[in-house]
Amino acid sequence: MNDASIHTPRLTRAAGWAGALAALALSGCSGPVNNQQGYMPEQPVAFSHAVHAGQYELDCQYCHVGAEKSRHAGVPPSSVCMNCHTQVKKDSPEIQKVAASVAENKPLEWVRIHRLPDHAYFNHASHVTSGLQCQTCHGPVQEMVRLEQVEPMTMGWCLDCHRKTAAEQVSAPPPSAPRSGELLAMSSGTPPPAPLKEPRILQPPTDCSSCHR
Amino acid sequence: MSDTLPKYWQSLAERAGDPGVLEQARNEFAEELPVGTAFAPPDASSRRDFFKMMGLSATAALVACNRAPVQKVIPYVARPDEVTPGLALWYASTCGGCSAQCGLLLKTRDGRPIKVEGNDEHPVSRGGVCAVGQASVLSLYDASRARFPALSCKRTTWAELDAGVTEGLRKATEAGKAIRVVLPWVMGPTAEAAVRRFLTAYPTARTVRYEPLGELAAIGDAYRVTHGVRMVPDYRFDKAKVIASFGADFLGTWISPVAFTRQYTEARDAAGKREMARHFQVEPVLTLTGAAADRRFQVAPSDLTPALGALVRKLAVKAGRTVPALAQLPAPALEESSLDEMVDALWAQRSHALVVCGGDDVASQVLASTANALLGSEGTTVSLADGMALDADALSYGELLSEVRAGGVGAVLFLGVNPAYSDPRGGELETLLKAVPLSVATNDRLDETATLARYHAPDSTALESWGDAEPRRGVLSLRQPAVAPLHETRSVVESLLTWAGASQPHYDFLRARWEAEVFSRAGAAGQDFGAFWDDAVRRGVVTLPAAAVEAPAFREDGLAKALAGVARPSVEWELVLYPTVSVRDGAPANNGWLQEVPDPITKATWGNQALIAPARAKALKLNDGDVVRVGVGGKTVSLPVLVQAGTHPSVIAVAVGYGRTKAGRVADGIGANAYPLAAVVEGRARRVVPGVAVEPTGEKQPLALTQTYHRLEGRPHVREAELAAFLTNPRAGNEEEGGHGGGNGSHPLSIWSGHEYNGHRWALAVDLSACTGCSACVVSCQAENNIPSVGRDEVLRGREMHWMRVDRYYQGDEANPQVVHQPMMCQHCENAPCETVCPVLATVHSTEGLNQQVYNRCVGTRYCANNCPTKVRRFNWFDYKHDDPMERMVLNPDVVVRSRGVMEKCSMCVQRVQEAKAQAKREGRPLKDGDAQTACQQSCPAKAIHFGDINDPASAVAKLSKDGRAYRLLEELNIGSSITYLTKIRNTGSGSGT
Repeated sequence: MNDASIHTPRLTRAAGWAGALAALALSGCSGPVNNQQGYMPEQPVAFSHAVHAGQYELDCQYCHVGAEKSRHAGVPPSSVCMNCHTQVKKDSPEIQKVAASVAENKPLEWVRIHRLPDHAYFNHASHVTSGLQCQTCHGPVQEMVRLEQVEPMTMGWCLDCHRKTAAEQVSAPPPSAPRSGELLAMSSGTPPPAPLKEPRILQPPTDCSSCHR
Repeated sequence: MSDTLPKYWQSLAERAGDPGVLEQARNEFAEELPVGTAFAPPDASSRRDFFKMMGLSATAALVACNRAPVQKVIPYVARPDEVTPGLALWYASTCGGCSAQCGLLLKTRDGRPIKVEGNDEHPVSRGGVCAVGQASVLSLYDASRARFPALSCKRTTWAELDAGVTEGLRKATEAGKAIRVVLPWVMGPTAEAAVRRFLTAYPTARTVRYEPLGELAAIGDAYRVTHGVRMVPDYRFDKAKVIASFGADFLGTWISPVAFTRQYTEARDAAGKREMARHFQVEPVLTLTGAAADRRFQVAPSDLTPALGALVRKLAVKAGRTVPALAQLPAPALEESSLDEMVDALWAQRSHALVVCGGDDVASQVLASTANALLGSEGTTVSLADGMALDADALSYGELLSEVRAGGVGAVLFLGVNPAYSDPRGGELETLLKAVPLSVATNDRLDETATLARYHAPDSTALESWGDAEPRRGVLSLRQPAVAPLHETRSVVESLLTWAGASQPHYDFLRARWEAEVFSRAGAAGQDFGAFWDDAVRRGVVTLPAAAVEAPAFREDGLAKALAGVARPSVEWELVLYPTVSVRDGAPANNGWLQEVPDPITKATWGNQALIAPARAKALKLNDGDVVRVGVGGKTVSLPVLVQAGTHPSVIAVAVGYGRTKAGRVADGIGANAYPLAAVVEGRARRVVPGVAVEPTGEKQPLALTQTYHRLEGRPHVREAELAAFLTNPRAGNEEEGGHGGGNGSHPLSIWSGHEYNGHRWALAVDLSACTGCSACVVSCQAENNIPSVGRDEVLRGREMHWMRVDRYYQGDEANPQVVHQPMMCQHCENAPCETVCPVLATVHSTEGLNQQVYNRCVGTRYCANNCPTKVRRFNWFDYKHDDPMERMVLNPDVVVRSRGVMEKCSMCVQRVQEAKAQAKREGRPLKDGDAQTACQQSCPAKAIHFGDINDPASAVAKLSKDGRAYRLLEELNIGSSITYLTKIRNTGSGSGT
């Protein structure tokens, strides 16, 4: 810098004031910054997790098939609903919305609740295969009539759990049911991959690049 | 600095010690930021104002609304069985980038092809992919591609087009007029079957084979002379112990560079085999292959054939044969001693010697074929039985033009060829086609030729179509689409079948043909065709059991006639038109990745130049960027000069493939089209043009070069040794203090406490002996990591974004230097200089040895780039928009798209590492060496890059890091690089070290 003092150009200063005022005008919401804790929007179909996961004890992965093998747990296609609902509660107006989606080949547009920023790469499969319960992050879903975000889902919250798990030397549960890939291997006659001899001690990473790339 | 280490230089100016260049290189950034002028305050506001505003803004941000906008989750209505959102699907396929037809694996995410990788099971390409193949995924989404069929460049329907074309063909047949199908030499067996079906339907139809570079045509015609068959033999560099190449750039662009590179590296694996094929290169312009050669002899282009003739004459003497046809050849200018050196080396290995020849000259190809016959290498290094037969009945493009002029042609079909651009007679095509009642083009866009044709029936790209290829006899490679056609395009096979009145889907035609032709020969006894087919589609390639094929025998009778025209003109300038490793003949030019890959030799991006020798430039007082007018026969092209070491003094060399006018928004107007300068000799276009005029215009045009703005400061970044020295001392050339991989933390004096790595520690090993500099890794990295292309202006400012580059160093004589290529990426230093200077902890060390860049923390101070000793950090000066809805589909969803104002660099493909780790956990097994591969490693045709866990003593990278050839950069600075380089070994035969 050639001058000792810091200059603020007039244009920048004006823009700065305007921006600050605009931000003030927009304010008025309360709660912690940048998290959606308590978010419970209305969905296009009044689907109740309390009925499906709570009352009928459907496995989460019956609908969220990606949870064990992919980054994304996934929202079930309308056709999955119709596996049962071609028989069950056919006349409910809510089910008819799903039936219409299949008939018209028009997907339902669910409102996203649990959402991490685009630069965070969360992997469902890694957490599910490590024995984490879905409820740890998603709250008591089996009791929710309308789904709600319970946890803050901030980076600090993620890291708290990662550090705690590492400190407590938790080990992953031995896989009980055949894991993905094994069923296929068994059916084709090839031996399934040998499981680890020792129980795997979870070492949840805290490196930046574990989640941000 | 040790005196025993060779002195390396990157540019002629650096070698000469040009003070301007040295000063420029001293600066971290190519130009100063206009801080003091652009933002100069009209009146200075007070420091107090500044803080008031800061405070208010911060408060505003804190109390601002915290709700993110509503986002929708839209699932499938019915999910396809094989698709799980978030998981990649891979399809085995075959590349359509050039006639080499390498085996590919296409990665798709959520239905979008996003990455091309090599198929390790493919016996010809063996897991390698070149830059053009890598970039084909971007060409798929090219916004300039044709989106619908057209009549006179106006949208039409396929039904109307088919009716019009069929009617036109019928009229031509009834009138007894000729129908001509202009197509490339290599289409694949099934497409050739469709062409034959078409020819059967129209008795007056014949094929015209068109090839801008004329290389396959020259070889085919030569083998017709020497063996009676128009074919291209299967060259086997892996079986060669001595290679003499006369202008053939077989590592860069010639015939099948990916396959040849792998074979070549194997033949020269000094560390593994304790021996190494010696490579002689005789050429006028420094090519990638010449850069790799042990001995490089520089000759004028017109001297190539006489030199090869003299070599054959000497071989004939050795063989005790008299070949009278050789006597008539002019004497070469190449020294007798050089010829003798080659002849002695070749003759010593006889059947394990290989002579290859590049270019479009039939006479020199005849000589190369004769040389191999005299050496007895047919059957070993030159396999005729495994060769590729070329269309024996095809007319040449010159013959087609004469026919059209004579008025006997009723219809012309251009199947993906572009002679209006790439033939010196291209300008005539417009008038000539007016006299042809029906003209059709199936080119992928309304390019120079397609706009002249009446009908445009756009072909789908190789990523959208079925197909097959036979890159070596008995190796059948299948092509399967990774996505349905994005636009209203139709495979050329379907178009031909429709016009032949035998309309059927390409898939059905292919499957039926395989059932009839391939399955019967596959020796799959007891298997049903369905299972065989499914397996072939899954693997992408089928190798048929070797059939007894009688190889045609060499014969001398045609030699005299074929060699009659050889002359050695004495002219002031000879023009050489050459293809580059990126845009090749110009077909893939409309691709930002390919335009921005620096040429491995000249380091030029975005455009072509006129390369001239340093001595000649000095005599003419020409410097880099001086525009010259190159003219011959009334045609001129203006180009900036690039003074290139290793160019013959009589040569002016210009890359083809630039100066497109109708390729699209990327390529149009970039560089100048040099094809019109090509000579036409006996109806054939020739890329060596004697007697051109070169005239300075006095104008200047800056060259968008990379690398030259960095400096070596005399440090031994690259190390090399002679084979003989290496065999006695595994650390030859690598004796520098601390040069042997002692690992980090072993430095006797360190102010660093070091890091602890309890689990994995990722590292790379790069074999400089294997690396040819082909730059496939650069494009692979770009595709994998969503790296933007920045364009010519930004490259001029040194702002290209490549996370990895291939540095090129010269050594020795500027007229004919030795070259070393060095892939350079983030060194993931143990004691990383960047980490200590970042004020916001945006670059930190991971527990697995990675130097991590956290984009969301980065505030763009650029201190890290300033402090990086290898200059691998790249700064986002702009938001490089990915806003084209079509082109943004190529983005890898596993890697974030960076925004303006943040630093970025190689992450050692951490997303691939994480994916491999997650996969291993899911399968309940430990991670194996090779589970995680970086993008650069996967595509490397030479397999020069190794990635793995250095903490696993069994891993390849751990072993290589302890090799005698291993060294790390700047070890004296104790940066603790995680990248191991392996000394380059040469086999120049000088016996002593460097």
